[in-house]
Amino acid sequence: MDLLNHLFLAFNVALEPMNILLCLLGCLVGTFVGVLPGLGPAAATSLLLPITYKLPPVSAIIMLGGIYYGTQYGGSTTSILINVPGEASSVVTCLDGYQMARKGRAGAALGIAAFGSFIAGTFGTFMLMLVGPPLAGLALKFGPPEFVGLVFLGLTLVTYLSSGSMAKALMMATLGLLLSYVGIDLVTGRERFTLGIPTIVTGFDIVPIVMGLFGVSEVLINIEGSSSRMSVFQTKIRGLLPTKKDWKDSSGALTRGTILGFLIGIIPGAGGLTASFISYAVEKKVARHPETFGTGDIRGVAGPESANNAAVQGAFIPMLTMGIPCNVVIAILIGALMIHGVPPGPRLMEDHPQLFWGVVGSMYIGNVMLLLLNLPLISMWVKLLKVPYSLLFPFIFLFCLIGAYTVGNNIQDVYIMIVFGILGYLMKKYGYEPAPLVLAFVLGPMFENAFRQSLILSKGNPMIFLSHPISAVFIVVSLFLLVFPLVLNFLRSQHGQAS
Amino acid sequence: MTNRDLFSSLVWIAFGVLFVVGALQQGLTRKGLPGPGFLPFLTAIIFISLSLVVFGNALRKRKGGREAEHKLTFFPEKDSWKKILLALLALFAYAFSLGYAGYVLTTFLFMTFILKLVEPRSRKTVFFIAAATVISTYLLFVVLLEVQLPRGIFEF
Repeated sequence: MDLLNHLFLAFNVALEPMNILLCLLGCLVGTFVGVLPGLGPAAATSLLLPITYKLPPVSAIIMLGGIYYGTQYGGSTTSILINVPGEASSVVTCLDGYQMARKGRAGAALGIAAFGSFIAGTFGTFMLMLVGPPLAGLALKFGPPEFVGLVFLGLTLVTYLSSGSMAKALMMATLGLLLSYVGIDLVTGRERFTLGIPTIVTGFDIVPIVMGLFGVSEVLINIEGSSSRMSVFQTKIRGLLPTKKDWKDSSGALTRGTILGFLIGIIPGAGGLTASFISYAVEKKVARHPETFGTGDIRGVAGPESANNAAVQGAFIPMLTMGIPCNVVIAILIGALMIHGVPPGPRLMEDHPQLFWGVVGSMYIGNVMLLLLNLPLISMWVKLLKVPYSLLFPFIFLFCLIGAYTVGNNIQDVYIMIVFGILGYLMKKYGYEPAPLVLAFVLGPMFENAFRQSLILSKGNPMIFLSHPISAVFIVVSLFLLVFPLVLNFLRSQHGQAS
Repeated sequence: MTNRDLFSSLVWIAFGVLFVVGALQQGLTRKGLPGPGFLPFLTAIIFISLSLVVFGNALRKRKGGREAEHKLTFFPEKDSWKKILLALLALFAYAFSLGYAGYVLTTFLFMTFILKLVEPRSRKTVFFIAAATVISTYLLFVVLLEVQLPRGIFEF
């Protein structure tokens, strides 16, 4: 009965004309960004944050969420038609999707990608609805030591699963924490590390940081080379509705991809990219003829495309139930919540039920919108691939400048954004990932508060983190994950020397 | 990446040391409990240690000659640095002049410059795109979203 009441509330909020319009706008922008290689959901959500300042919090998250899951739909289009992933999470779709297009089956590949995404997205939303409330209830029982353990584990997983060097990822996470300490200390009221700059007395705002690291740096990296245009695979897209055989062939992959993707999405740091790769590996493993993968096997499209969509919905669970960001886009959404004066955390569902259920309702509607946008309107998105990038870059710059200014009507924030833009540009050049920095920056205040509260409770005894079972488990698992690669490296080097 | 790792890790170490000094000034303990500088100090020490790991790895690779630097140039093309420098100057100039010249004029000039910088275009096209951008963003942010943008000394 409770579930029915909640569903009623969900659709009551999501079906308000304003929210439907914003959901559609988010889905349109998401698909657009997904189709265009280079511009990711992190840059897109941060660029459109300023538009949400005057909106109610639920409407803001509905639109930004739409952008996020919309990108996962659009990403497969370019993977299939030009062999260039529109999104990182669609990389693996290139392998079989493009081969299907070469064999004249672009329509079937695009169709199964869209249907797979729809089924996975809807399943993910349904699970969010089922799992969310009990998980938030459990998180309400967490005290400060448990939160310290949880954040510590989250940060470890984020760095553990990053694509580059683990040491560098950990460095970026600690840098994010250091930046989060800038501003007034909440316990003593003293200013810390502000260098006398008035704008940062209350700490850095997340908007100039993400806009600089993801928006400005992306443009700087792109304008330094000559602009190049990609050629769309010249084929007539027909037969977008998968045949009975296509459904039969891909139903297993679709089911496995959906479940796997959802579970992987909940893990901090994992996200759509990991989910799609694992799904592809699983499909290859369970296939009777794995040699068909890479030659245009529909399972190689259905599995990963459903996995990356389910992962997006899964990532909303820790955000909406505990205030923990699983990836950088979710970190930006948490930032948006904070800008709107909604504190993220386990109380969100109790204090702002319209927000949680409204977002859930909008996800059902958004997935239907995206299916309609990505099937009948596919040729429109293909035409968009012809938009020259050189025309987009000045607009990204301008949106970053306006966005940074409007966050507090302050020019200093614009300077801060430019500095982070330069930092992001250099980080890309020097092989440092910005995502762990942003995640740690968002988690920093929660981590410090919980850490200091714990030590106040225990009168300075650090054993409090190990005497609480849940916190102890989180910390031990984190330490294991941190030490394990070192031990593995040591054993490998010993083995190498011996042989 | 070896030389870049050596250089970047040294910069990070210096940055970490600054945080350590700042944290010590804040005070590590207060009435037997962690003070405002405790967690920053601990984090900065971990940050420096990780920077040392990256530095050590890069040094080991260079000594072992394991990584031949594949003529890794910082900029992909000869003139890339000019584009980056001009783009950054334009961004700083925008931030500087926004308060004085106002949103409309600053944005128009900025867009004109950036559109020309990214790709050579005719003056007419650049003028048209810049003007359309100013009008559409003004309508979106100021009229529709009621965002306050600087009007400057010209009051527009």
